[in-house]
Amino acid sequence: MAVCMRSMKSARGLSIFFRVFQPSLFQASSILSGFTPQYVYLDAANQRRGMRYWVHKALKNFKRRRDEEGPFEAPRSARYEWNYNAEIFAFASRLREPFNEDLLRRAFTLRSYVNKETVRREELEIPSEIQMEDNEELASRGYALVSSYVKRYLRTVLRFVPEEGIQAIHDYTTKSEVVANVASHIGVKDLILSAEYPPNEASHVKTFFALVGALEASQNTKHAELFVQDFLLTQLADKDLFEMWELKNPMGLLASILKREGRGEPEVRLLRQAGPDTILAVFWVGIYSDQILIGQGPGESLEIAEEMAARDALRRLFHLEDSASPLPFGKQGQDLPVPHADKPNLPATKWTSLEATKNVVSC
Amino acid sequence: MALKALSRLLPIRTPGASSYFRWIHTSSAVGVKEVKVTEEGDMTIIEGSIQDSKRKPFLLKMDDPYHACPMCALEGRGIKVRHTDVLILQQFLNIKHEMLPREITGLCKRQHRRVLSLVLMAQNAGLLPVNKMKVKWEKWNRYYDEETDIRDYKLKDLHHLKHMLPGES
Amino acid sequence: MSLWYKPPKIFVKSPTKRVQQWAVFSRLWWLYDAKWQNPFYSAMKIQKYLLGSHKPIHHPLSDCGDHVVIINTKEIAMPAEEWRYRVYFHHTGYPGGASWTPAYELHEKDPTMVMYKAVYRAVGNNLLRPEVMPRLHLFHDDVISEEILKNVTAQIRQLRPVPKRLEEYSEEEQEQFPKLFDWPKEYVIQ
Repeated sequence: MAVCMRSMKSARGLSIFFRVFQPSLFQASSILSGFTPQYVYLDAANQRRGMRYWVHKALKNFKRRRDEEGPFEAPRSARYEWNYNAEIFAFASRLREPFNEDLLRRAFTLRSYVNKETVRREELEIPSEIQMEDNEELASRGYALVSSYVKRYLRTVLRFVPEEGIQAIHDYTTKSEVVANVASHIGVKDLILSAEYPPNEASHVKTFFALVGALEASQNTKHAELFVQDFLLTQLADKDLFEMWELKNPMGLLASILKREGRGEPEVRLLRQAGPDTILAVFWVGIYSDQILIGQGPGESLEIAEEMAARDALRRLFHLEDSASPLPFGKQGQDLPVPHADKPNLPATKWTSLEATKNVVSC
Repeated sequence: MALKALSRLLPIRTPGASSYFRWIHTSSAVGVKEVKVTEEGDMTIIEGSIQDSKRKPFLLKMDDPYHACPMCALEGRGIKVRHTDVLILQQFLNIKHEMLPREITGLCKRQHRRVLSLVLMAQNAGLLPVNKMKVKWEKWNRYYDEETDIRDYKLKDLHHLKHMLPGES
Repeated sequence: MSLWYKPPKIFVKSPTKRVQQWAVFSRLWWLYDAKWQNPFYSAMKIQKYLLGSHKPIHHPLSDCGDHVVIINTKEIAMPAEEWRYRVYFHHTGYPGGASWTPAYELHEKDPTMVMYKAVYRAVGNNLLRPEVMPRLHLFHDDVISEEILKNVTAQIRQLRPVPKRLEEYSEEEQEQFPKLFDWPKEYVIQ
């Protein structure tokens, strides 16, 4: 009895010690799909040990083919449990925006998709009963609203900034990169119906504007405007607004403004410097007008420092310093009196701080 | 020996207190005198009058009955004399850069020892002149901590120097 | 492919931010007068400026230190007998090649060497030391070339006040200084 037990024990121990290779369907599939394979094996049937060299070769081959093919992203809709209707409903609920469902569907349908679909139906000889509509019209409507509202919002908030600056900030906000970034983070990627997948930047931009247009048609203009404020204008938070405006000759602009205001000419003075004789020289230049310091800035050379000081002086005039109060969003943004009329700010050629103060719009 | 015993008996050591042989004179040795010559008719009077010392106008007014010793008086007023205060220490030296006796300076025993220590410090540091040849390692600048008596610096180990970091002001 | 929403790897700063960073990482030039100063305690103070640890932006791996110009290293002071007791060891690598040099001897050979070694040791054994030490400029007297003096922006405060020798006071000053005691009436000034 004792002998028998001992022999059983040893057999059990052996089976644990050597991993017995049993070829099965599961293992084969795991090898092909690129999971970690079992290179070293012990064939229990004929007690043969060794490396399966062909596995490595096959994996290399798979890798090469995958690289040639490029990254492949299967659309979410290719899966069986995909329910487009439910996703559309969930999208509106997620944003808590009361969209009209037909308009929302239309906002996601791109012209490329419609064209592709009609061609496919013709090939398959299916009578096209359903008339699909693309989002071109909604998008153009949405863009008009976005462009108008962004400008009016900026003019209300940044009333000391000349119209050129407002235009520059507007251009940044409606840039396709920024809008597409917002659209992708709302989660429109899988909902967009376009010819290509994944949808490109232009499709994202078009869909976002179409969504704004659809919201305006579903509810009212103010509702759509708040949507723009919440999702698009918030991209301006924590950004340097003055840098968006590319000034070619800040010193000339500053001098013209000072002359118009009847103040003294800008006078450049060296405030501080470190290691002027070295490669890491820093110069700190200040600009004085009537012996009052109106701006200062550092630079690698005296010319750069002078330009930076001029830009700093302009920042102070236009109330765009780093310490300026943040843009009003959320509850403050809802109560913000944004006028309906398109009244531009003062252009830079006529700008004075006194005139800019008069420019305050009160609704 | 006999002279030494005699000097103890005498109440005041008058001139030349640094050496025991100076105070035996045929006439009394006195300070700086001004010779005055006055003529009254036929009579000519030659008179030597003792002058006030040059220090008199610059003397500190320390009318403190409890502090007979000038250094104690300074200490009582919260003034700490350091070895770098050469203008004070110099007052206790004679022309040969030696320490004057207590009978002249009026220092108490404790302060005399302390001032002597400070003077030695200043002389070692090169702040006060000294009648001595310098060894080659005494050539460079040195400084001292006044809390320690200079005689303790002769010890070979320098562990006690660790606390000498001056406070950053 | 279609990874357009990822931010670009090279982040291009705006001119204002670039210049701001340039100003933050600017190297200052400090002047330190080693006259009558202990070289070892001075080194503890100077290494902060060399490594940049006196700055709020300091990080041990960032090279944000300043330059330090030390003048009058010939007139450094050591406490009491330390000139004799401090010994510098060197070994040539050959048998019997060891040598011990007292500080006063080393100072005679090169009056900047004691100060250099003190700072070298105070900076510490780290990877930045070979970059930090060239930023230390030592002069045995107060004569500096104008190229270096032009860069100097600020001064490091000395640790202890510089004492004055008796010869440096004028005779008037010595006479008119308040006196602690008067001579006895019949004292002969020797």
